Amino acid sequence: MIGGATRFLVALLFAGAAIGWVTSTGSRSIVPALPGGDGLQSYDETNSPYDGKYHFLRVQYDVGRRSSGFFRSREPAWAHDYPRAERNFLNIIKETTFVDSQTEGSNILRLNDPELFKYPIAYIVEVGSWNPTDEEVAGLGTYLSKGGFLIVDDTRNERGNEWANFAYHMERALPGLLLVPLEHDHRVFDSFFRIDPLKVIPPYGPQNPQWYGIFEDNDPTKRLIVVFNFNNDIAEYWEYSDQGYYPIELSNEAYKLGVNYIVYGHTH
Amino acid sequence: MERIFEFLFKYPPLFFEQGDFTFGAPTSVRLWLIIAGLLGAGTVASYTIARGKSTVTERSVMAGLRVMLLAVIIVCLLQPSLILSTVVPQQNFVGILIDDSQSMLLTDENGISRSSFVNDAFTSDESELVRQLSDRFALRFFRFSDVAGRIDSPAELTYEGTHTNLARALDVAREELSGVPLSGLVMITDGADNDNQPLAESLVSLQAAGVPVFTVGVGEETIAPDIELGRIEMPRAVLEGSSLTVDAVITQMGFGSSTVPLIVEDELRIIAEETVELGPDREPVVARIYFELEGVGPRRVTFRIPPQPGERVNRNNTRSVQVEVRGEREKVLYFEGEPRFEVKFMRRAVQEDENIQLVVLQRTAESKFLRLDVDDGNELEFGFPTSREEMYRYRALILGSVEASFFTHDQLQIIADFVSERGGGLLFLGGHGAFAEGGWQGTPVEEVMPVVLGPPTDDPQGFFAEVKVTPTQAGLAHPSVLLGAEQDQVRERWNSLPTVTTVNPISQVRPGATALLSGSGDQLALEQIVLAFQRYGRGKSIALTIQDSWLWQMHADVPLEDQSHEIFWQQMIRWLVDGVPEAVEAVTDQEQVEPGENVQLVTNVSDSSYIEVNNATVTARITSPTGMVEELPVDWTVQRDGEYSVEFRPLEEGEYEVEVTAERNGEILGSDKTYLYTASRDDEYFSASRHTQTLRRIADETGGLFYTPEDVSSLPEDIRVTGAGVTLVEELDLWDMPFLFILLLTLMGAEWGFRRIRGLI
Repeated sequence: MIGGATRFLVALLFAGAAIGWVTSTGSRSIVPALPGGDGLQSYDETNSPYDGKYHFLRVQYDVGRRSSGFFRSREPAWAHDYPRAERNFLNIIKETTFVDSQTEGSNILRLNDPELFKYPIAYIVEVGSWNPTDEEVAGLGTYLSKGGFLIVDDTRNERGNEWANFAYHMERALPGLLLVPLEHDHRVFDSFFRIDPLKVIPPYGPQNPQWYGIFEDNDPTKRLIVVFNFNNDIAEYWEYSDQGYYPIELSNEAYKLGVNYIVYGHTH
Repeated sequence: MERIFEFLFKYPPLFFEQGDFTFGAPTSVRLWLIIAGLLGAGTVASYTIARGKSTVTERSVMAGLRVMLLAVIIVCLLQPSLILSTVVPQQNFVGILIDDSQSMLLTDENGISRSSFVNDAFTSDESELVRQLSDRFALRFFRFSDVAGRIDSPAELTYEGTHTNLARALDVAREELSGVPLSGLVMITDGADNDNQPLAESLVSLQAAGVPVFTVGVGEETIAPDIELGRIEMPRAVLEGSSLTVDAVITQMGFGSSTVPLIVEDELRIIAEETVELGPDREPVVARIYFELEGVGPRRVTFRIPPQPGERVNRNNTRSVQVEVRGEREKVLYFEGEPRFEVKFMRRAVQEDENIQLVVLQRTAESKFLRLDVDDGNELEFGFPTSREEMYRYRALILGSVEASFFTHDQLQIIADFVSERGGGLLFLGGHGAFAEGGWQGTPVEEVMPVVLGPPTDDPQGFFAEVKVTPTQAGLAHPSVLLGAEQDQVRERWNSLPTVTTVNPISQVRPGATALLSGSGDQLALEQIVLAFQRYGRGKSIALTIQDSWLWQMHADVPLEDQSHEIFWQQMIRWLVDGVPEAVEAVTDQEQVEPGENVQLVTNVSDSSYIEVNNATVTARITSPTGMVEELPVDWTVQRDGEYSVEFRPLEEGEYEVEVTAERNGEILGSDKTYLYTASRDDEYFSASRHTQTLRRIADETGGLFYTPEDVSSLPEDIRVTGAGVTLVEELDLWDMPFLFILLLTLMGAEWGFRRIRGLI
């Protein structure tokens, strides 16, 4: 067995050192070439092409006119924590697991992009302001039905009824499939690390973190196809794990949860 | 021709073949030759010294004719004769063996049955053949089909035998008549032996005993028009829900290149139908038909071609095969060296298959494993199996992207033995840790692989190529790559699938291996071997050299409802476990017998390490169709390790269940169940034409002769001359052969005619 937390921390520190150059730029969040900041352009040129390895895939989307989607430093909602979160996370994946991952870059795709289907694990953030088109909803439904796995992060009701917005669009994508609370002993919490979900404290303080999921055929014994970190934001920890903003223990739990999601998504 | 010969030379050719030529003149041949020479010389001299108007040439011709004339006279005076050994009348026996099987009732094109020859020639009071034979020999009649025995008269024949065994018939007749002077055996049959007992041994015994066999072939050599459903190639046990690919061999005569339907029925329910294009006359065609069997248990699957208009024999259009549909879950171990999507999608593909238990051992990090679908917490507790007992619990092994150095040498040897000794199926998947890239060269497992490993790529980035996969010619006929499509659409189905990728450049299969899928792409210098397999020892190994077959499920170009990926993996894993032996396996030598026919039950017994066991206590529990139970001990055969055998005779008609249990020192080694169907068979209607070649062989090798009903009249005299038994030596004069007299007159007439033409008279 792996050497537990000690080994993990070593890896974490290694990752922090490796990405030090990113922080040296002084910018808080770097979204490559976002002219106009509308976040609607294609990222084909910056995406790394399919090579059989695991690629971190971030879902790009539009926000609704009246939604709570926001731009921080001209950052679109879908790009929150990009790119440092995934860069740090991919280094952790590489150091802790045998997942053959592409660490040189990550991918950004819309849900109606055919390329999406080459990456069976997708990450989407800030879905309180998510406003997918019909094509994107159809693409997501097909993606998940074929075997895709969606990780949903940084969504909380303190900014409005974000849960309901996400649930509404998921109902469009997967009619009849319900968002249900995940049992804390679900396999996803034990696919690599054994995690007590209650120890994954949201970075914004105690805010009643909850885990929801959508199961194939609404059957909790079957495949989990969507995991939803409600009232939580694990990528926030990933992004700042090398900055000292958050306690290492909390960052560790966020990384461990992310690693579990990736291993689960590869095997279930 | 034979009659002309006999007219000219006084005796039939057989006499000259059998007899020794001699001259019977009382004085020495040399003296006569001297006199003849002197006379000849005198004749020639008289022509030479003659004076007249004749020329030298004319005198030479006349001298030649006169010399020949004198030579013929001398030959006659020498009293040429044949010394012949003939059997003594009424002091010898002849065994007459008559085919009593159903095929003797088949009618020829003229509407006359084969048995009518027997009736005419042997049962009729006016039969000349029987009279002549009876004059010379004491006759003993036998009938034969699957068994053979004495009968008092051919009138006892019933023609109800359901199969024919020529060798057994010859053995029985030879043994029964071994105590009497036997001139020969006469065998009247169509020669259609369907018991497959080799003839050679029986013929050698007859040769040693000096007993010639005279065969009389009845029936037509060709039955036309007729269609015959020959062999059916089908496994005796299949996993429930498996797609079956069955080959049926069809031969026709007289129907040309027409098409006929081939129908498959499971207990009177049609489960498949295929249109078959018939081949040229007498040339068998192999029809491939696909179907699934539902429900667990023994099944009787019938293949039939409806009778065609004008067809002479209809009962050779149907064949039934006994098959057991097994319902147990086949346990397959998939060891994957790195978390990758093949695991997820392969599990999804087979999750609905109740007969497959895909146990996944996923290495997620150094010495860290994730176990999926194990039976309990103890299974694979310490990672990959380290003993044969642990490994051999699985029926198949899938090795993913895991480097050879992960395993100990013992584990590598166990993997190789798993295939060669246990008979398991082994599937190698492509990946960074697989094949040459995973350092598998030089390991005990390398030779198990059906592909040739080249040197690993020296590119630090590794090899990577997109591959468009297409089935090879062999693949087009292999169930594992048909993807559920009709056979003529398989290529299209594969063309519709997206490209996948490989990191293992492999372009060569091992000798004896077969490539089923190949691939091409811009980054490939040589055609990629995508899927190949080979038999290895008792098992088989398969290589799938791509790394992301999951794209056939996930890719945007593949419709959501497309089942290609699921079907591919279900078929692949079913193929992998197909035919993998159990520790105890029972099988009967025939899947169908007739009530009362002996059946050989053979059981192979091994322990959990698949080492053959010779000291086991093996018991067969045989349950008849009416529920009667009989328990029989099954004994070690001694000839082969782990092989046990017993013979039994089912008497009831219907389905017998045979359950075999093996134990050693009170420990159960295993058990197995097999089924046997008892019913009368239609074998006599298959290959029912006259087998002249077989009958000629029997006659030739024993010193007898082959006849047809048309020329059988010479049989009595032929036996007299060629037969064995009590014989006497006869001297037959040849000097009065008509041929010599005709020759004499011809020579005299020729000289006279020559003189007339030349005006020398």
